Amino acid sequence: MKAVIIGYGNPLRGDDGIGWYIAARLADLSDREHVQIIACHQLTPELSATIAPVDLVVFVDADCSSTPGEIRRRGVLAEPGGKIMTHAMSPELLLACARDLYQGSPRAELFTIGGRCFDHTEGLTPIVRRACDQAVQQICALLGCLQANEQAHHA
Amino acid sequence: MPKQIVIDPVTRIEGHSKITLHLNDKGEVTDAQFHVTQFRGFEKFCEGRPLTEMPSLMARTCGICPVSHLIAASKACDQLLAVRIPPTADKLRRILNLAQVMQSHALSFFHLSSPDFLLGLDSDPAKRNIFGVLAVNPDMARDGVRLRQIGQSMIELLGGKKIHPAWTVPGGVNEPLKPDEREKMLAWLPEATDITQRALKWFKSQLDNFTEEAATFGNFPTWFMGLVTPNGGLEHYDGFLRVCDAQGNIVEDMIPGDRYQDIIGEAVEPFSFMKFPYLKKFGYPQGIYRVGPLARLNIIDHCGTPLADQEWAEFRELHRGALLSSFHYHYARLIEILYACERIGQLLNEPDILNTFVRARARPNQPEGVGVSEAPRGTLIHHYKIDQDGQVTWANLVIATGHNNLAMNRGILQVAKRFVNGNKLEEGALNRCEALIRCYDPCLSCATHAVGQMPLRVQLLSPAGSVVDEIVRG
Repeated sequence: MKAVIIGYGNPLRGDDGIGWYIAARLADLSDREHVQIIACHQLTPELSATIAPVDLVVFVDADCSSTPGEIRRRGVLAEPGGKIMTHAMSPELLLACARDLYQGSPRAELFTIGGRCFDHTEGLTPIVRRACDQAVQQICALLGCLQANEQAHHA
Repeated sequence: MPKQIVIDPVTRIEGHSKITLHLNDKGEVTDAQFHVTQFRGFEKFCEGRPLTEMPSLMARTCGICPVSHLIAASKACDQLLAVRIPPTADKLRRILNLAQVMQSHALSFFHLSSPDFLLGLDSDPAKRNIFGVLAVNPDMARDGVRLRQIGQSMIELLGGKKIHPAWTVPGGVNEPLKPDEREKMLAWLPEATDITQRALKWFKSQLDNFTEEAATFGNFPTWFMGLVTPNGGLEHYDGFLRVCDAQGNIVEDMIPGDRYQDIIGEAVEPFSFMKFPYLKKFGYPQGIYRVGPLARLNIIDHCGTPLADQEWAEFRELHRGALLSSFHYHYARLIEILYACERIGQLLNEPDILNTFVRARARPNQPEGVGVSEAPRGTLIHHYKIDQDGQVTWANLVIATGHNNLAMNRGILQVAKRFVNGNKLEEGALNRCEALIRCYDPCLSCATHAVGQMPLRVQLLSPAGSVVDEIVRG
């Protein structure tokens, strides 16, 4: 199984750096042969080529509308609707690009964490940082579970 | 009573701007203004910062072309240190700059402009985007994604990351090039070249479909400015300033970048935060000039690489003298991508490209430094003054897009006069105003976050202020 983890956001805007923090934590923990970790500011069309051939893509982003520290997880499906940005796409749109340009349809999950502070500053607020560490565990469990399923399938 | 049409974008756009069209009593467009309504303040808040911070600080001016600001800032700091950077560092900076040109031009052509070319300027705005392109020409959509990816991957390989790489520093670059990195870049070049040649072939086949646009999109005489090599060739990193007139005659030549103020003045207008550079010799606003791909290909004697020279010769046959229509910026961009592919290959094959001596070190030695380079959008100038402790006391930036400000204003007027009906607003007319701006590929195109669909609200107001007509998009 091959997976891509994409943590995105602006690390100079406080808790908007959630994606980068989690990507950095996962880079220390993950099996780099099977899992590619990407930290970036935005989702761009070029990422569609990266995610198309893998089995799983996990998006990680901050959420300014949910409770600070609240972890949300949902499946994501390809959807070409909505605003089409040149340098700020949604996960749904990126998946649609991957499908329509490269015939790739990975399973996709989106992890968001409610942010508290989005000011011009570096570093996460304590409550958000603790939630990020929990999210890291959840993502590792997801990766481990999928790896185990694949091994069982091939056994 | 005269009326106005105001094209005022909603607040979610990154680079804020609006367009005002002034109408006479007959509903005919008589004047146009392109307002940049956003104030960045970089020239002011960098005062007091150490010069060593300037490249990284100035890179934050833009998320689309940070490399351009890194390069110009580093060059200005080289002058402040009074160093001559090692030859290998010079070549590596050039490769970085050309990779920037490649990815930026790819974005402009394939993502921002190709929907207009493929689907038409009057097509449904909901489909005038990458998915619309994908539906009618999937190979072109893939080519655009891949070409930009190659350029960005080169930037990431050299600088450590795609956006705001911190690799170029005063005195040179931080790290030498590794052999495996060189091999990776060389391996990407044939594919990038093929994609560009395909795009050129396709675009040339479409030129007859856009004769009206070519005739009306910023088609007027101006001067053209850019950097050239000592023998008049295409130059993006160093060289000298050259200015040509509309007939292609050289009027200023071999001007060192640090003497830019000998030929360029800067004016301000109350309706915009963007400055209005002009050629001093001809005064303001008569000294209107253009920079960027069209200007660069107008002022040179040759490109300097075989495939690009071949395409450039064909390009220049479109018109005797300088090509005047801003529509041809798109064509020029593709030729510059081709040049970038070839030139990067040449530089990567230089015998000293892997040399590890890539940085000259010194303390501040000069009170003033100017860095001039060619950003994808045109000539970029960073001018700093420092105190004896190396802290910045003053900065002046002449941004590439700013040089084109007068031309963009005049271009909007030309397009609006031709296509805007002052009595009834139509979406196609809006798109043509947008398309004119896209020819210049300004940093304000960041404002067009939605591809081919600038969030716009256009209102036609009566003298009493009541809304006569309104069109909303985005």
